[in-house]
Amino acid sequence: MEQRVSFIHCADIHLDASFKGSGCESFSSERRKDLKKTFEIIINTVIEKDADFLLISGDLYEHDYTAKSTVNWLNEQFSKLGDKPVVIVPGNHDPYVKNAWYRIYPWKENVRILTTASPEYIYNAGNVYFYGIGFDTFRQEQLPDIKPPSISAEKINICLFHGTLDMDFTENPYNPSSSEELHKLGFDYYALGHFHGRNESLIEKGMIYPGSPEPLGFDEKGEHGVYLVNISKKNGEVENQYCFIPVQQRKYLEYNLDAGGIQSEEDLLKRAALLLERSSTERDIVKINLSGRISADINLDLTALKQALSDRCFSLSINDCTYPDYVLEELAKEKNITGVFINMMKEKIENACGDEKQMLEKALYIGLEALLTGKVDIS
Amino acid sequence: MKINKMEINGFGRLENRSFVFGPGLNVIYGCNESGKSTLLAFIKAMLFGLKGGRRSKEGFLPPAKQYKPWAARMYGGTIEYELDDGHRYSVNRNFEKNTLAVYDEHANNITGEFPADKDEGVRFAEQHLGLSKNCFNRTVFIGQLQSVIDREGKKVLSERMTNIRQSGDEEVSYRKAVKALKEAQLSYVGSERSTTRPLNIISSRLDEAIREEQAAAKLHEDSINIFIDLDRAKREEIALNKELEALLVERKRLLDIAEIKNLQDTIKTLEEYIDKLNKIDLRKREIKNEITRIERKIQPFQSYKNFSQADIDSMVEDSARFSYIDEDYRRLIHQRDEIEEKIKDDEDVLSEYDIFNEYGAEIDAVLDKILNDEGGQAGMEQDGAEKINRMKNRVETRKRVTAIGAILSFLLLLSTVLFPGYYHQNAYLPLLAIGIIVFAGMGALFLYTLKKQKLLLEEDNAKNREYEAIQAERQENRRIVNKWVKEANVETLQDFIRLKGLYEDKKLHLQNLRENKERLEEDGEKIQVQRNDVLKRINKKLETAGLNTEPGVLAEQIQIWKDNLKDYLESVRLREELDNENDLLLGKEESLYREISLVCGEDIKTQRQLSKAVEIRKAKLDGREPEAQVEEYNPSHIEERIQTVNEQIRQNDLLISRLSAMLENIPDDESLQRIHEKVLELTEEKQKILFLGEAIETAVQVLSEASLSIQRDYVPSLNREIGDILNTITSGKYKQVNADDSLYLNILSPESPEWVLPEQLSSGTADQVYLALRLAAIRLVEKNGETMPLFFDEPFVQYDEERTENALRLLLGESHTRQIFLFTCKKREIELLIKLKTNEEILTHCLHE
Repeated sequence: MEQRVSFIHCADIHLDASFKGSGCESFSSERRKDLKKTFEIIINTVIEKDADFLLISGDLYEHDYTAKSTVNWLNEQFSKLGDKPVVIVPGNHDPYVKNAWYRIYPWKENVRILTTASPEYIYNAGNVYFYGIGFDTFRQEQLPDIKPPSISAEKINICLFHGTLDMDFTENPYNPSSSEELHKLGFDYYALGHFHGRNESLIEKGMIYPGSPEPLGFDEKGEHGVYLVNISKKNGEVENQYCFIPVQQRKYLEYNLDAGGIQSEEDLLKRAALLLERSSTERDIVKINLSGRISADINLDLTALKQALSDRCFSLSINDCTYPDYVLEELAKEKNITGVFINMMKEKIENACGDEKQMLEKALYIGLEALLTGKVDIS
Repeated sequence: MKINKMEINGFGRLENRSFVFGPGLNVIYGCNESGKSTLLAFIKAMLFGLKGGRRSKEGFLPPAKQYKPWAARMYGGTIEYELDDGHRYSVNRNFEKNTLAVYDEHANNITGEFPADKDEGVRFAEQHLGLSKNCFNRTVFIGQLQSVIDREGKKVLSERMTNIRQSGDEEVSYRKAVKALKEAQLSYVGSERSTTRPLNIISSRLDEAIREEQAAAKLHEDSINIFIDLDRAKREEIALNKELEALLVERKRLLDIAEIKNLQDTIKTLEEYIDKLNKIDLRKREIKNEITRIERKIQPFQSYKNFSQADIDSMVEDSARFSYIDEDYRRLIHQRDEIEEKIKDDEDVLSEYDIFNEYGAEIDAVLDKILNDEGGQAGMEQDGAEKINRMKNRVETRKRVTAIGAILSFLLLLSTVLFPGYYHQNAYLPLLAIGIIVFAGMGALFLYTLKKQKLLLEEDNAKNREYEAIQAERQENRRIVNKWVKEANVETLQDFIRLKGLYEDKKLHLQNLRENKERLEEDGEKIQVQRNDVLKRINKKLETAGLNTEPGVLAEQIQIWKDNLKDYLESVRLREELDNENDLLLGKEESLYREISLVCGEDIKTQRQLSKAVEIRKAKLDGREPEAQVEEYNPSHIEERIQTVNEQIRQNDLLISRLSAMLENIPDDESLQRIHEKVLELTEEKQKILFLGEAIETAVQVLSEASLSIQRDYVPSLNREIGDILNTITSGKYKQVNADDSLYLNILSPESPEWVLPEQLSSGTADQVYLALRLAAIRLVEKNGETMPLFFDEPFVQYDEERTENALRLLLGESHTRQIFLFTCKKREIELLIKLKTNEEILTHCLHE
């Protein structure tokens, strides 16, 4: 007998998360609203696609920040699904701790939370078997001691897993495991969560990291959404179909703009405006990394620049990586303190990396400014 | 390097000018605004290009526009130069088009061999000269020395020399740079010791934000805990309400049972009351009937209504009395009749005793006297004498006794008066008093006895006189009597007396009869009165009762009256009893209704109301029966439990209210995220400041190291060069220069065994030292590289004749080894040069047309 289920798999929504400011006071608040809007879209998607259930593979909300109003709202969203189950496994941001909302809140009856103590749920008259491996605490450096799953060939077996797979983390591992180990358990589908980037590399093993439906930072570029998964099982033969559905409200976009050779600030504004215009970034969160050598005569006013470009995107941040147009090679040749200083700094810079390198570069240009102008102007 | 030729197509005010320069000293002469500075700018521009752009930051035109020729079409020119290695190059620039072409001595375009960038263009000059544009500018162009002879000038000079010593560049001040960096450190960062600098401010804000975040996190944690408590309290509320509901149901069940029982009991009680009331009613009706009957019965006997039992008693009494009286009366009448007959008999008998009837009273008197005389007189006399004698004896005896008593008491009195000491002191006074009293008493009695004895003597005399009169009378009487004996046909006085006795007896008998008769008649009258009174009373009663008062039927009528009255009274009594009973019943009924009202809890005054109350209760009962197994309803237990649960609910409600209020007061918004974001922002900001601080500190540190390196590697050579040059310029007067610990330049003067500072030297010497320094610095900069031409732009404006001459001499000397350009507007300097001219060729160019 053939069994079929279709469901939406999502993870890492991080409701009520905090957002590092972008200079705009309402930015973080709007972003939290975006998270809720995205989640509403997920709920609507479940309804529109007539999915059998919704899987949330952890980090649905931020335990540290989530207030009762959000939990009430969340419960109302779940109630929109009627009898359709919402199967949740707690993640490291919403672990099943003593005072977890999962534990204390009177959730709708269709909400099922799989915990270490109670990792199973059987749905649809025994057709679907759910098994969850999530978080009981904020830190879980190894898999919890959990009862073995009861896989049955007659059922569609789904594992919800929040953690890292195939990652050799020596520091701060989160539920570390390997896809091979999980695969051995014999589930028909592994609804993964934890990584915010969408990852289909383990799709052959029936494993998907859907990523965060709404990106949370500049390290989460690209498309974000959820998966509509169809599983059919006949005589032990499983056939999975996956369909990615974008649901994000906004994108994080990062552009590098070479400001070298600009004659004036107006030049830079034109270049930046052109860049944003080409990319249609009105709804997006944009970061522009300015680079290149800029004449010391040109005093960049980034605030004014941001202000001038503010209507071209939802949020704009400008990272100034320009440097003064000193000809270091020539100055370095000078047989005076300038040359000696540059050479000494260059040597240090070459031997440094990361933040220290950046700091030394800054020291180089500040030192040069002090030497060549007798003053230091840091605006 | 030597510049051989320049052709200016157009550059500022210079148009279509051509210059050929010599290898030594070249003087470019021109008055003000003749284009000296423009020429200098042209040389720089040909080598390093012109900066474009719209407007510089100071508001001046950018160089590319500044030097745009006023009239010429071409904006640019050509420069030809020769390097130390003998190779010659030609550079052609078009500033208008910003084009450049470099040709070698064989007219090969070698532009592409040089590195180029967008900003700087083709960087051939750096390659050929080994100097950057800046370095070239700072090294080969020497403006006015400004070594004025005042203190300020010397100070400037000193600073420049120090700069050269510390930085290898008179324009670059290590100290100024370090000072600027430290100021920047203080302004833009701050330190641990500062309090108001950015780092302090940001640290303080961050600490505050962290505290706020911790407080907000705690509040968040609290809100969750309160939510848990609230949830628990709400569940407790549900449980308590359920328990209360169960208790109320149980109480209702028990109350129902109790109510059923109560209703049943009440109904039973009320029915009992109904029975009682019915009985009372029944009795009342009976009484009423009875009373009606009695009233009907006594209706005819209303005339008896004023009678009472006392009347019966008095009637009985009167009736009895009447009988007695009547009988007495009859007996009296009978007795009277009998006495009357006896009187008649006695009167008949007495009529035979005439003598006595005739002399009756006289006979008695005479006989009395005779009889008294014969017996009575002697006796009387004897009695009188004896009596008087006894009296006398008694008086005599009393007289003696009293006399003796008086004497004795007197003696006693006397003894006490005379011998008072004989008596006990205590007894003396009483004895004296007694003696006085006794003596007085005895005395008085003795005197009284004497008086009595006197009276007795007088009485005895009177008696004797009376006795003599009586004897005379006695004789007369005897004679009369004898007469009467005869008349009475009796023989003796005794017979006569006897006869008289008979007569008197008869007479007395008659008298008695008559008296009896009178008495009987009197009694009869009295009885008659009494009888009438009694009869009157009886008759009155009988009349009142409407009975016959005829004497013949009196007894019967009385009996009838009595019977009737008894009946009547009995009936009245009975009715009263019935009335009383009725009253009692009414009272009882009232009492019952009070009890019923109490039982019913409402005012019940009639049977109808009572029946209705019973009906209501029966309706309430509705045929219910208490459960078979009914536990005893214990109100205190269940009520206590209900009260406890209610109290628990109340407490729980209070807890819920309190927790809800607490939860309400905790902001359910994004404050925690916001403060966390603030912490992140401030942390980032602090990191930036720390980053900047570290960068500045590193810059200072590396600058210090660089300065030390300069001092170590550069200064000794510099010192030597300066010394050599000074030695040349001052003809051996000053030849040693050194630095002190403070890195200040010190010069060894021949006039002083100590090192002196440049400002301590004369102005002329100071200028020479400065020139020496410049030259020494140039030599060091170009060491192992190209020999640079030097460009002096009006260097001696403020020099006097002598110092100008000295300076020119120095330049002439230097022109042996390098190309020198002297820009001047003073002909005097040319003249001086001509004067000083040795073997060197001096090429003079006049900028004037």
